[in-house]
Amino acid sequence: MAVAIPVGFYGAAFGAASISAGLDLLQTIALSSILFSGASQFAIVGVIGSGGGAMAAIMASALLGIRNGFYALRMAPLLEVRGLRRLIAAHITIDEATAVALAQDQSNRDSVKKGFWFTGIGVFIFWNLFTVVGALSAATLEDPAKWGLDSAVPAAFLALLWPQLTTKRLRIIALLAMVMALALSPFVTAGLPIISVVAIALIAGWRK
Amino acid sequence: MSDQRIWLTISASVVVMLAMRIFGYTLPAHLVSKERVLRITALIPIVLLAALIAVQTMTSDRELVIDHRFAGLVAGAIALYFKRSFLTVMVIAGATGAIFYNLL
Repeated sequence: MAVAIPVGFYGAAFGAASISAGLDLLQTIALSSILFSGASQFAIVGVIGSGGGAMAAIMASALLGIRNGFYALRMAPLLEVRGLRRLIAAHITIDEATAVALAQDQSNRDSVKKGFWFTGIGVFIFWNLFTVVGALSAATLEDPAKWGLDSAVPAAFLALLWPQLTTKRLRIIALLAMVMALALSPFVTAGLPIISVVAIALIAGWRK
Repeated sequence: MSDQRIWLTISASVVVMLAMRIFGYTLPAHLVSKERVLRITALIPIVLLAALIAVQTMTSDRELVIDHRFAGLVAGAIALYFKRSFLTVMVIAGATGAIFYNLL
């Protein structure tokens, strides 16, 4: 549940950014509720705000969202969901829900599931609630850095990654992923540096 | 962008996003349960999270930067090393980042 708090504030920052990019309240709420993927949402309003076209915005959103598909691949055998529950699980498959679920002891399937559902739904509620708050108070929330939010969010992800790095091999793999993403960042479009590290997982996982 | 174009952008993005998410859940189990596939998919969230942390902390508009966010992350890492709780880690990282941001 603690993950949902900084996420909520980031939701407020998104609401503010969206309004100042020229979207109206309904469009802002639509992004947070039916797209529901922070990085993609920021990318869309960023492109629109800087005068970019629809195609550029859609591509940026898709590129940043691919990782949700990879998370889904990982969560599928752990969640064992069908029908409507599968649709809901898919919709709340985000960085936070996946990270919390996988930070649990994986031999305890129940706590993995609980971690996923509680985090996913919790983040959904906070994200949307604060999107509205941010949209309605657009001017005051435009600088999340002032409140340390842009530092707290990556640290929260680090706290979720930390317990997963149980062996030296895994720590080296994580470090390589960081280096690769940073090395690519100046040269390729946003979103690509992050998903490109899937190559590291492919190579490292190919043989034990 | 016109109102209509914005709605078009939102709808198209939503469809693409949902399709990608559902795809991961609907791949047949026999494809996903091979040992090699399991090893790879187990590593994917780890590398993605690591990359996400690095990019969120050390880039700004595609340029590499070391700024207040890095200070915050280091402080968070130290707190993690000393086995502090999740909330403590976040507060320490956020406070450190805010101090560096407002002072520098």
